[in-house]
Amino acid sequence: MLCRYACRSTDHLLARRAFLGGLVAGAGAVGSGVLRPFSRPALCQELENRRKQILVVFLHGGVSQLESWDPKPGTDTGGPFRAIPTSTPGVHISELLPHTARQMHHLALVRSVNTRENDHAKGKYMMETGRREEAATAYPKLGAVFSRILAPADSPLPGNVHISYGDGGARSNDAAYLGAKYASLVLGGGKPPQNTTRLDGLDAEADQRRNAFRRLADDRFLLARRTAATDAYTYSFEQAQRLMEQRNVFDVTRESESEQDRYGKHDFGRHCLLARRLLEHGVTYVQVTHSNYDTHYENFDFHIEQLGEFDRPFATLIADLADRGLLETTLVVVMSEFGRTPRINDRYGRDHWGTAWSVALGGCGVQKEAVIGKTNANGTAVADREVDHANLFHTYLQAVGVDSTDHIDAGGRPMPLADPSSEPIKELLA
Amino acid sequence: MERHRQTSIKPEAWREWLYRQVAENRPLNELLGEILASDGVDENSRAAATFFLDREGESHLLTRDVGRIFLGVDLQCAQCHDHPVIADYYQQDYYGLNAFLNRSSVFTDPQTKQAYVAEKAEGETNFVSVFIDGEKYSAAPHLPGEKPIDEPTFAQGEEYRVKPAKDVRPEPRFSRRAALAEIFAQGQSRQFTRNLANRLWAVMFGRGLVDPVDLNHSDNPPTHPQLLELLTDKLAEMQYDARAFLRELALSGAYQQSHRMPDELLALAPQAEQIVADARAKVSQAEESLAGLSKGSLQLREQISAAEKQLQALEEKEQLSQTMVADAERKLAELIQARDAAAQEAAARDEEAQTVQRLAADAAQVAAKLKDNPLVAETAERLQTHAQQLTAVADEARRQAEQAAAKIPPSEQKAAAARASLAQLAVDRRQTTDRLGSLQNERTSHEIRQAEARRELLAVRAKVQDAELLGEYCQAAADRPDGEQATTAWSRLTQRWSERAFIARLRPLDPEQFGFCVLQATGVLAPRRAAAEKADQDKQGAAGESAPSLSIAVEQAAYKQSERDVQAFLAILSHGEGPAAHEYEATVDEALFLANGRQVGGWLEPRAGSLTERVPQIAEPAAVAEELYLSVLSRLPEDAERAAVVDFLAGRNGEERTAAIQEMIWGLLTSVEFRFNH
Repeated sequence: MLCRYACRSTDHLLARRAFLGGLVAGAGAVGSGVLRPFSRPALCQELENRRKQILVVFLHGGVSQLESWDPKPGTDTGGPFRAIPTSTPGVHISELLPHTARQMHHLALVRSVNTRENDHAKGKYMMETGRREEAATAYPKLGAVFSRILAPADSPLPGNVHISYGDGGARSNDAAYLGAKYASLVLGGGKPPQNTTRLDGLDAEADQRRNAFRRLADDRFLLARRTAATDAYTYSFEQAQRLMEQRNVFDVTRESESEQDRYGKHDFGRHCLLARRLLEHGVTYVQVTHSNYDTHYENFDFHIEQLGEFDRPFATLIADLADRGLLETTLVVVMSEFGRTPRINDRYGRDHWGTAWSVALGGCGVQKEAVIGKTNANGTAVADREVDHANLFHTYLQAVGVDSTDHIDAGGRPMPLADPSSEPIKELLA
Repeated sequence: MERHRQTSIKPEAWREWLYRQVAENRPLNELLGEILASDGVDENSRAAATFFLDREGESHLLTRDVGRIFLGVDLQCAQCHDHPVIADYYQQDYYGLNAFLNRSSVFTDPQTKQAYVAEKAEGETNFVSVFIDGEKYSAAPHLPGEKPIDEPTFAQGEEYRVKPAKDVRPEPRFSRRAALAEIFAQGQSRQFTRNLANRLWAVMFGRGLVDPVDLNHSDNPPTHPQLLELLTDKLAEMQYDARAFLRELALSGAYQQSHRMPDELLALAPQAEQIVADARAKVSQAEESLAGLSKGSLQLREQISAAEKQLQALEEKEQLSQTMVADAERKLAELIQARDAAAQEAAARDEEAQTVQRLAADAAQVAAKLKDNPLVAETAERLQTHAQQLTAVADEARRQAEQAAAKIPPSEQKAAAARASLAQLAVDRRQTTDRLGSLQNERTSHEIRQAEARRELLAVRAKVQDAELLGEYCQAAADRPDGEQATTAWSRLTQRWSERAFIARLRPLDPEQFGFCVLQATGVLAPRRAAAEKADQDKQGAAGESAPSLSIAVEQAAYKQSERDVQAFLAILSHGEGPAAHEYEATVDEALFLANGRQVGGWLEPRAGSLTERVPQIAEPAAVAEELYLSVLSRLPEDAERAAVVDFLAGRNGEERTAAIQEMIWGLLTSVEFRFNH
């Protein structure tokens, strides 16, 4: 038996989507008595009004807090650089970040991070998931979590984009139980996502014809059976078309020459400009990686070089987001897997240090100009308000208006969004 | 199916080994037993150790995966405490399973750098609960909800076949891991067999009777409990022959159901209300019967509690009575002792008195003869007095002895009465115990009846929902067949009916299936298979091998040639390591890959034997339609579909016609039918 559906008008499509959304939530509730479907309805209205976005700049390898956010000039551990005043009265940062210093009034600092972890991979995992690695459970990373919760379902653009070096264009598998849809799309070297151009020899008309034939076949089949999954599948082809139409969003050369100059034409500059483009076009989560800060040798020379490259594009990006009003709805986080040792080793290097380091935040939901916690005089220990990766993870969620104590449905199992034994840094939240 | 990162053993070796096992139709119990027991030493079956080595011997990871994959229970959340929301998942059971595995570890040979499984003969499994402070627990190896296994004991120093030492792989005489493997291999665990039956069902039907397949517990019961029990029995009866079992499933009416709703459904429309009413009446009946049972159950509970109180009181009385018996008997014994002592005393005094009387009598005679001797007379007098005194004493002693003796009979009576009362109490207690036992038995059978009634209630309630959804749709369709309400009701109805297994479930292909199906449909796979067959015939022809191994070799060769193509699907569609996603989720990546990827695009280019080479050679448009539908969707086109193909081809000739055919093939390959109902 078949069902005689109405036409495939837009109205119809929308109503059907709304209905199917309800259906999925309903199925979750019926399927198991213990499951609480993610409490999205409460969030929905607010999020509809003001879409929240997230920008994470990941300083890969472990930036030195002493050469950036928490300088200790004139001490045995301080190194050769001075501290300079910033646009936030009373807050000084390293002289290696002069441009950033002028944007400091948009930012806040947490100077008392202790993650107790000195391993690159483990530290990165902790900072990106808010949890320690566990043998039998993989947790989704920040981008996947935000993409799942905040990204609009009908957006043609992916909700979770990582701008990195090298190859890319494909999804990584960092969404764990949230599903491939939320995994990060890696734009290696800032290149656009793969499979977004038509094959040679297939023109737009031919593409339309074959899609029309596909729809014809589907319409017939769907009269008999239609489910949320079949709808999502047919819809994904429409989404693909729209993504292809928006391919230029990924192309920074579309920006004017002067804009490109403001950011700098090196990789990180282009990547920051790309991040701005993506945020402007509504991508929910953008992560830009800057590499490499693993300075076991010649820490000071390397930081002059690395932060010299980081400073201007980052500061420009913050200023631009603020100018465009985007900073109000965009959470910005500058993180690493850990900091670097106060002790300067015999090769003028600093080593891995999870014990007392800093994270910078800004934008949506963050108390501007706040400085949370402090380290002791020469930075060898946290002296006040110690926090860790789990506190930070809760804070990121709360900053964009998500209840970090909520659960998310992971294929029939309720999983806490953030480590249930931890809590956000309340005084950092606006 | 699950994916896992490879560490020590190459995925190809693992796949090839598995392929061989499946080709030889190795019984599943044996196969899984070997996978768990293998230490990787035997070169021929080294790949079997993949399960352990890929997990790097991490005992918690192994515990979770043995629970999930072998037993259908994901005990992960019970690692640190009893499961917070699943009543059946205990921390004790998690560690019971863990105890089989945590003595094993990966041993890397220092010379060859080859990894093996090693095991120690000691190490207990202790744990604490994060919910309960300070308590320490330990677990002996056992399957969830079952008793610990019997373990042999060895004299000290005798525990090892190969003793642990530097750079030596220790081997215990008794391996706990092998013991677990043996339970599975011998088919001794019903949980295990049940899980296999459920998983095989899920392979065929796209969803287990218990679903998710690794979340089997009392609040997530099978959709069809009796069916699952039957399948479990059958699988054991069939000696875990997966091929025969899958064949049975494939031949079943359930498997051969259509994905379409039955045509006669609309004919039910006028009766829909009646059907709902009937179903609701059955619910009321079931509710009443359950309520009756609940009431009975309450009464029973009261009776049991009264009997328990009575028994306790009787026991207390009995204890008191026992003390009383003991007291009475002690007292009697004391009295007897006192009587005997008094009698002895009386006898002694009597003898003494008689002796002095005799002396006094003698003295009196002497005094009579020696009348003048005052001394003698005085002595005789004194003796006489003394004798009188002693007689009085003896009389007194006798009297006392008589008194003591007189006390015995009442005391004897008292003790006898106490004993009698105790005996009566024992009888009463036995009777009460018996009554309590029968009440408890009654309660057990009552509980079973209640559980049945509860199941019955769930079943009839489900029927009400079925009927209500049908009613909703019939009503909406009667009002406006094309309306939004009818559409919505239809979707809910079909969803419901497929969940209830009245119609076939739509089942998306997994990444490998999708890849191979596209290869097969586009005609890319057939030439590869043919070439492999020919190469194999040439090779085997000389050796004169038998046919079955031939086809295995051919399949493997064709598979190998296609592996990279299928990998492209995997890269887009798989979630990486771990269990596959519970539900299929469409992604824009998939659509982009199908639309613009060079793989599918390339296979649509005409090449020897391919579909796009074959079909353009067919002149008759209707025949083109048949070939397209048979090749891509494995069925003949319906009239409307045939007409659509004819339409699509109209006015397109030469290269244009080939292009049109490519477009249609792509349209069918990417259709919902190909993806979900292949």
